[in-house]
Amino acid sequence: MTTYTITVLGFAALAIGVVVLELLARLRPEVGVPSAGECLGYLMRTRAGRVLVLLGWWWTGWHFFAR
Amino acid sequence: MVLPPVTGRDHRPQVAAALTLTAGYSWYAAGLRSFTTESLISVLVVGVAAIVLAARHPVRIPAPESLDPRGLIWWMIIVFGFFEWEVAGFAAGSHPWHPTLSVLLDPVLEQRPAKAAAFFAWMLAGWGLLRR
Repeated sequence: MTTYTITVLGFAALAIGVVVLELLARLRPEVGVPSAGECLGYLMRTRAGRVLVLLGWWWTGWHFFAR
Repeated sequence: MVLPPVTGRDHRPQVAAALTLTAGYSWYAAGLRSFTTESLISVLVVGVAAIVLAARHPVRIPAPESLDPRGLIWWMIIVFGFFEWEVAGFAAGSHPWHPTLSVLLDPVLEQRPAKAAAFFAWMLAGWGLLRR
């Protein structure tokens, strides 16, 4: 197994983790895992948090689509 | 925050128009080459639109008062894991044997339909954040 394959598997594992957590949050709320939206909403309660999260969102677009 | 009462109006035409406009803009932006002024402007326009929409105070979904730390820890593991994995690749020079996420996605984003779909999803994600 090459390091390239390990790297790809690492990213894939993280992506699968995101999907699993989101499904748990929506289908099994008794487990207590918040959804991604709830986590981000919590961060965005303050003006600074809102600005930072939106800046991070915009930076993601700039990083992948403009450069 | 108290949400305004539901008026019973049918917003589907406006939603359809907004989605069509977003899809069209995504297709246009996906046709622009990276590292050009046009591609930068295409992303800046979306950022400015987000600022304008945020300033107009769209109806926001109430934020939770608190989060269960036992559940939150799993998200933190994912986020820190991603940053560690990405930084490790970046620090290694993003070589082919230890690429960053950008390097892995470049072949996908070179295809206009895939890039347009990703741009569309990015804009939808921005709208979702503005509602929070």
